[in-house]
Amino acid sequence: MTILEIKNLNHYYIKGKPVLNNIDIDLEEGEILSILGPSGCGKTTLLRIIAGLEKEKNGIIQINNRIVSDHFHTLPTEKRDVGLVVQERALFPHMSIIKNVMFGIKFNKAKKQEIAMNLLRLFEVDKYAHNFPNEISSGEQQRVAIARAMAPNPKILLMDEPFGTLDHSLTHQLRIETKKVLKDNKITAIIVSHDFDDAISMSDRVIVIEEGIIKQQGTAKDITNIVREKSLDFSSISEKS
Amino acid sequence: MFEKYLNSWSLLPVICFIFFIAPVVIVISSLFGDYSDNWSHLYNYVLGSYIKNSIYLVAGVLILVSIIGVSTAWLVTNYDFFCKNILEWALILPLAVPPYILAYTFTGLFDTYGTANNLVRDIFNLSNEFTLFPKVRNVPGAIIVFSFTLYPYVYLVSRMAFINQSRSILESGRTLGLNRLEVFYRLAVPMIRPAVIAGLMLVAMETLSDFGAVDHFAISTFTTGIFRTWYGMYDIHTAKQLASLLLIIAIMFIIAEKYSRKNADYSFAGSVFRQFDPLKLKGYKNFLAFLFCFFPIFIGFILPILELSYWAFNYKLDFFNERFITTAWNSFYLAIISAFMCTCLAIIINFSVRYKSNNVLKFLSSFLTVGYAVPGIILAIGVMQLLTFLDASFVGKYLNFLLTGSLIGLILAYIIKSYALASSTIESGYQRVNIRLDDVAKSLKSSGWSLLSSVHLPLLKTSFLTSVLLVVSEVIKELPATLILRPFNFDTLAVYTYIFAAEERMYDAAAPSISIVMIGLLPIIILTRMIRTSRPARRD
Repeated sequence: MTILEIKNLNHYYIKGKPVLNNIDIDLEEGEILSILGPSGCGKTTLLRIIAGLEKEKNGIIQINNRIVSDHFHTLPTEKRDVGLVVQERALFPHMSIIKNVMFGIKFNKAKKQEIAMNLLRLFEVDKYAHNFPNEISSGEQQRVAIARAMAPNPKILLMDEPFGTLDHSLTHQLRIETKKVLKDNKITAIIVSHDFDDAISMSDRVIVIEEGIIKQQGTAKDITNIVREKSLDFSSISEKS
Repeated sequence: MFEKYLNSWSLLPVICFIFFIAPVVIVISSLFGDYSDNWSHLYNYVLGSYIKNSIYLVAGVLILVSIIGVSTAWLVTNYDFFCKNILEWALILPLAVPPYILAYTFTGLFDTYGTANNLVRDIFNLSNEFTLFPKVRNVPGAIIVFSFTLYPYVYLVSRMAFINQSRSILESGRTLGLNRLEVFYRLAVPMIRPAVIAGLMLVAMETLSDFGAVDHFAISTFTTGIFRTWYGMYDIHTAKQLASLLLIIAIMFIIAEKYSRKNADYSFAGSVFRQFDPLKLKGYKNFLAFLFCFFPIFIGFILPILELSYWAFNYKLDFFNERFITTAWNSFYLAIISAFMCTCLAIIINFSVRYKSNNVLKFLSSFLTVGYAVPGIILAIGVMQLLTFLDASFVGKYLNFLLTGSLIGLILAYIIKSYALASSTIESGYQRVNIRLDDVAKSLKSSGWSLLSSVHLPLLKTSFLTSVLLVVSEVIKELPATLILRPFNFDTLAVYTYIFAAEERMYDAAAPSISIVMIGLLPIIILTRMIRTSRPARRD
């Protein structure tokens, strides 16, 4: 079943300088898609448009067979059924870890606590449930941020450079853990990254965007082969970032 | 397209805009009406002296304030000397003393039979005719009073600008042959000029809008003229026309201030920031630097406090009488209600701007802050006329209630006057709340009121409290608007002080004056804490 459908999406901030140009994307239920590209290529803008945090200039976006944005109307973020994880993690600093995770859940208090604790257990941060965000490490904060985004059971999880501020070994470990959780729970996700390894190791499919245009797309294996065959230098993506 | 501009979050800013602008429009509109005989009298005989005195006063204050504010800021930023760490924050203490209270203490101290002259006569056993200190009830006296209470505005902006100034540029000046003094006036001061001008414009507006000090010194300025025309000639229309002229001058200062702020950081572009340790002063230089920074604090804060305490405790030990307590309570609850309402408005409007980011809301929000520059007397006239209009048109007719003469007008005037303080405090609080929190909260189905109450408000607690304290101290000090708009037989501390001072009963004025200064100290304490922590960040 198609969860996300983007048709002919265009966006610009200054007329004549497109940020996104004729973007078409389909995403199946349970699929993990990575959007790969250098800084300024438009990948974060695309994610923000899907989330409803920015309005595209034209195009149609459907989530779970419901049009959430087109020329005539736009559904606000809170009604789109999407989860968002940002690079800065953005945990609410005045709330404990468990309250952060409970924030988006719409049940009674006991049920909320149960769901939140289960998610914290899944990410092995349940022992910090009553700590505050500033009392845990950045890796643990990132796990909480993902748990919080998953808590309301969104149709799609949007992750913007989720491991961008973490060190190499921690990133490697978190990639494995996160992919396992996403796959075990059949969560549909889009991961935006400038890191080739992030994109390849985490996702089923990869889209490469440059200057607002989709340049390549295929399975993680396809993209790896293309890189090998054409001896493409993907380090340039990281360098530009 | 329209839903971006027309939504429930635009409603409050629009309503506020109407209520904030109405008093100003009412006053300005008087310029297009008839001009009475009283106007001809004012125009032919006294308008010239109002303008002349106002120009002398503002020019004198700006010169003295520039010297005190910029020099003390330079000294505490670049040099290490005796008590520097204390003086650095103590230099803003005079902000707690309203100019009219310093004016009252100055007359009590330096009049022919004031404390200072009596003391000199007693010590040196001189005759009663001898006066050492010259009379202060004149323009130069008023210049001193305003300068020593308002210089902290320039000190604060100069200090912040000097802290952020590129040391590399100043050191380049040294290598090009300038000595330390030349570096100060040829490089450092010109580089912070826009920031200083912005501070000076605030001082000019405060000086022009003051009523208490110039009235006590019997100097004819616009504000005293407006009062005399209204209460002496019973001609509110001419008073409004006079107020319009003052308002036009105030608008010119607002524009100059906004323009200067826009250019305030031009001097730092492209320079590599590097800080160096302050130079330790020794010997007589150490003493002179201390003296230079201590003198403004002594004149603007220590001296009035000593004199007021002396009066209060030696002459009027029973000042905690029933009238004083009633007056203090009136001031207190009025200030708390106004501060709370003003801060809530500031939070909701700043939230609206952040939440529904559009240019119309941004414009409305920035316009609402110009109320601080409208002199209290003009605001009072405008609010009074607005309430009279509302009473005559529907409130009085249908609700069996009169707004005129009620506390509503007073609270409205306080809110318009203090909104800028509340808004800037909340705005700086919002700058510390990561915008990504909003994005994430929205994705977690939290929007509008829920976002404001569960995410923003808990994070803005300190800003909320700071804003309430700032507005409380501003409201407690406000004199002209209170004098005009207060209900019959309703006194506040400022009015109580004014009435005693007008009758030359300075000893009776001491207790309410001390109370005003003490309440004014509350936000100053917060500011001093901020100053102590505002050390330059390393940006090498």
